[in-house]
Amino acid sequence: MKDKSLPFHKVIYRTIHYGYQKLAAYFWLYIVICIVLVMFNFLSIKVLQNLFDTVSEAVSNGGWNQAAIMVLALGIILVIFRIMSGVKEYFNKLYFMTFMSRILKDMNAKAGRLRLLEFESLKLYDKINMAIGGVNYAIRSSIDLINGVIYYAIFFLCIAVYFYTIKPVLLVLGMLIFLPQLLSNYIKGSKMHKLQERIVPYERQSDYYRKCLVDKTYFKETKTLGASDYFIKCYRDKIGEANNERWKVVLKTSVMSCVLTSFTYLGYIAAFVLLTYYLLNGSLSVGHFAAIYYSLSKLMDTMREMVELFGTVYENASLAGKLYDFLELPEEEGIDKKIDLIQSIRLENVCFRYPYTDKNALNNVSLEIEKGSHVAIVGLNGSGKTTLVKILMGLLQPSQGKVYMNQEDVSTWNIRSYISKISAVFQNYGKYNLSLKENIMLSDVNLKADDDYILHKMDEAGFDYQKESIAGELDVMLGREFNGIDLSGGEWQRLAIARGIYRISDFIVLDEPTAAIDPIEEANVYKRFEEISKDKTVLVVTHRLGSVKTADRIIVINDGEIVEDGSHEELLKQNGFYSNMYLAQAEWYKRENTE
Amino acid sequence: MKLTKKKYGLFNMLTVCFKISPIECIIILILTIIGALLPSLLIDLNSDFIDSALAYAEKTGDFGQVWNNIIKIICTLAYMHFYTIIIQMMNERVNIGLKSRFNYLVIERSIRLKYKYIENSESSDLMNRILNYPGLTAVQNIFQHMFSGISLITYFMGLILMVWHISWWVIPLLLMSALPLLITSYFMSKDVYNNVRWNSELARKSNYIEFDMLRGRNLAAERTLFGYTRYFNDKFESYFMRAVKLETNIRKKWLIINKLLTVLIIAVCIFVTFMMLGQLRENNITLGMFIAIITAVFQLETVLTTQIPDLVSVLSEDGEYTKDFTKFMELEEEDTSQTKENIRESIQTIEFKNVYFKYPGTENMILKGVSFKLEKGMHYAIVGRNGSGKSTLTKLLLGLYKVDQGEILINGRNINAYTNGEIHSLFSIVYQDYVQYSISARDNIGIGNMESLHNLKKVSEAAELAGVKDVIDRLPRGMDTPLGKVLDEGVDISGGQWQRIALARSLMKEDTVRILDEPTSALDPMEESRLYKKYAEISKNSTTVFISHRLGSTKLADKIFVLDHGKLIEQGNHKELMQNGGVYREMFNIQKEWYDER
Repeated sequence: MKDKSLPFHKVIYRTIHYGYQKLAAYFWLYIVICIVLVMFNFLSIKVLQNLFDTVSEAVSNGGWNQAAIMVLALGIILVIFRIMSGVKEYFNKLYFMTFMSRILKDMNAKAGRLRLLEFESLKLYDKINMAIGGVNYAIRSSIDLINGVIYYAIFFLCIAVYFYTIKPVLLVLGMLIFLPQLLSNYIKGSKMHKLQERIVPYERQSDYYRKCLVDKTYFKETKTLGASDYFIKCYRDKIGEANNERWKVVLKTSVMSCVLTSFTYLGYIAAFVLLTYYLLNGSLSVGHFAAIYYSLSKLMDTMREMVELFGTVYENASLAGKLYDFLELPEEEGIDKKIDLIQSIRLENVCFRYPYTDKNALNNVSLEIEKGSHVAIVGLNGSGKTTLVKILMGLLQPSQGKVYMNQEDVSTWNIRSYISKISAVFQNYGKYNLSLKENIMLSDVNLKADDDYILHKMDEAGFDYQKESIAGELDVMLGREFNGIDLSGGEWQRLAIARGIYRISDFIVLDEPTAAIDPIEEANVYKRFEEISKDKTVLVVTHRLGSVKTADRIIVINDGEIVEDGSHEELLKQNGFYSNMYLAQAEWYKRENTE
Repeated sequence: MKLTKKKYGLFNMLTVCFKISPIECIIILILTIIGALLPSLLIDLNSDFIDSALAYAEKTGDFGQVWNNIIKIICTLAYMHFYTIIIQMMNERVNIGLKSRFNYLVIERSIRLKYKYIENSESSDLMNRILNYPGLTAVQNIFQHMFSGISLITYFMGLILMVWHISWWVIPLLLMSALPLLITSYFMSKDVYNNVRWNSELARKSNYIEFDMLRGRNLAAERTLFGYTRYFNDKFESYFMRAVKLETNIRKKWLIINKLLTVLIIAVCIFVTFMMLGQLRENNITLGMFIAIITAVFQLETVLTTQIPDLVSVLSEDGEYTKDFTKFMELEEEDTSQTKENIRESIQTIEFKNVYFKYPGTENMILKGVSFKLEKGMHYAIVGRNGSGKSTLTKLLLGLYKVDQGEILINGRNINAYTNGEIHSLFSIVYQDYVQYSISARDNIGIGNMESLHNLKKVSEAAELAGVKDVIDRLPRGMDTPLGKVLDEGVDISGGQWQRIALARSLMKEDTVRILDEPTSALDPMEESRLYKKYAEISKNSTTVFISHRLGSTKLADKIFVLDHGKLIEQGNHKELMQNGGVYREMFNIQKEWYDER
């Protein structure tokens, strides 16, 4: 898998296109506002020139009324200009945030359509994170581009035309200002960026050492280890290195700035001298001179703004590109299929390998699970049991081999069809900061069941909704995040079970509960789960071998392969892997004189 | 330099910078003030230049005068072009100074803070704001904003001065018209700050849905299976847009007020222009002066309507950081004031005497009268259901919290007689939420005992004992391989392997009290069993306290304590407790049942 980012021009195209597609009305409105604004900005220069002209005219020949009208016109233009810039700023914000909500919504939807694999592999997940970082930049670029192209293009065009009408040779002035500015910023942009990147690794490390010292997750351990001094030393060393490096970079960039600024300065001086020359030989009126001279500095500032703006657009484009990379990740696809009842699921020579790894997590696994059977999958850490279960559930697709549901090959199916009759209680089930009701019904949002059904499922799972803090209230908020009530580990676990059985299913998976619940609760979980899913196909994954003795069938996985398969008694007799594991655990519960 | 506890404002932050890099700050100050005065000077020069040029064109003046003015203008422009480069360099020096000195002081202080602040959400949010977001760079920003303030005010004064000597009455008029705008922009930034998206409940809800539920990694499997994305995505959008609406409404309100006041200022400027026009007509001022004053007045208009209000809102946001900083300086540090006798001894006994404890700021008693005694060389197990107070015991032992009632005695002496450093040196711990340091494998283990950090033999032995030696040997650079994801060449290892690293870390100390809090939670049964078998070696020469749900582990203990709802309900060895027929027996039997051959 290669990580190739979109080229610059494609990013730009997509950015503009995206903005237009999502918010066409805003897009046009924004353009109109930009145009109006730039017109008034230009008008203010023009009117100021006229003012100075009429005033100098009035000084020598009278005509004060004319001048007064000009002053009034200037006032009106300024008022409109200020108001319009306020409107633009407000609109900018509104556009930004509305755009943001659309992009985020797209991203969320996209995340929902992605294959689970994208989340399982850390490297790929990093991509998603980078995409989130790209959102801001994509929007910024889109707004900056409209702004930049419309505003600056029109502004400079007006100025050029204006200069030309006064004296064609004045266009040279524009060049004198424009070229050095452009050149120096181009060099700056390409060189400085590279220089600055040199500091990044130092800063990331010193940041990390700071975290080791004061971050919430590290604080307790670092402190009680007495390792603070160690990390302070690391921190100071890295800061020192970062500072040295930074200073070197600053010196280099300053020298560069000096040289480049000389260009722009000389350009400016040349323009000034040229203007003066025309003023003195009488081919330029005082009004013109003053207005042009005044507009020179404005021109200069605007030019700098523009070049900087495009610089940022250029920089942001690579970050924004990450967003588009994300939006283009492959999605789930396949044909719809209606499943009425899951009769069987069968794997045939299934292999599975995670991206960026060089070893199969599952190797040549074949097995069939029939309707109504209760199956346990056991194995050591990293043996591949979770991967196997995810393939059986249809959440992951085998790299090689085939999966059959009801004896039909599923490789062309869409995942939603495959999982339509499957439910699960995951190991790291969600503790959603939502209402109690939503916490349960989210497993099947289209079910539209009534409250009684929800209450019934909670009863089955043994969740006590009559307890004081809930009192049968389904809308009560759970979790600490939004000041809801916090449940204990055991209560969350039961709620997760209620959620799992709320979903209509023939096939249900219980992934091993974590250490978050205590042994008594843990034993209860297995028992209750067995009871409520009597007439379903059940798959249980666990470390605790004793807890699955009653399963019809136990499948032992080691190193990505099925090594044993049978009932508890059969496997014990085999004296193989299972019995070793079982005895290793049992040993610690054998004591002399216990009962 | 020392940080003192006082009320911090923007100027105090500026003082901090001055103290750290005095020369650089003075250079910046001088250059800035000159740089800010020049625009007004330039207006003046331009007016002189225009007058002289006009005189020359009308043959009433000589070219020398014009030339003179041109030179002046060129020199002024040179300064204006180049001085910012020097200022930028000096700014960097100030940043470097802040980073190596000020940031260090703040971090050092954070380390010394009482532990309760770390677990309390309010104070840990505060620390997060101070250190991470916006973080210490805020001080650099304050420095720069203050200087732009100085620059702007100087520029403003320069303009005022210029206008003043032509007609003074313009100034009070302009200032009075600008006052309302300045006041409202202050209130606006306050209002916006308090209501922006990121602070509001709606925003937090929409964030939660998007980050955790719809795009998070932890819930990916559940989300794929249950397929709830569309349902919650709509919910997300409605929260988000409601938050946006809230903010834009506030902004709209202020926009209207703001722009009305701006019109007022512009009206005054226009009025002034008319008056000047009159003066020009009466020949009281020259054309050059007229142009100069009008340019100045409209530059003042820009300063008053946009630049100063912007600065006010930036600075009032900075002010929030200094408020936080003041609060941060008010947090108490650990008591290290009295010099205590330096105790270098090993633990003979630890005794809890009728200890009561609740977390600061909460009502719920976690420990309710716990008494027990630990003796050197013995092995203890603490068992109990979730929330029974097991991990809290550890925190009290380490002096991270003080007991509310009762006392803890170490070697017969009250725990408060020891400094925290001394207490920490007596224990070694594997925490339930052990840390994964992104440093080399060797240091990851070595920091368990700072004195033998560089003792490779000892580190290897600890790794061997914890069963992680072969994992480390297989890494590309062995013991020196950086672990984790922070360094580019870092190698990430599995949860079970990390847990064994944490265990090895705790094995670096000898003759210590070793506390193992659920040390096998990420290990599989075979690994767990192996660890138990090695327990004799692991615990040699030391006292151990094993905290676990897995009651198989109690086989290793000489004495077992059973905690329930903050009370010690049973204690004794396995046999005694089984005969007692209490909670312990119930728990043990439930687990044992799994392994009964029947």
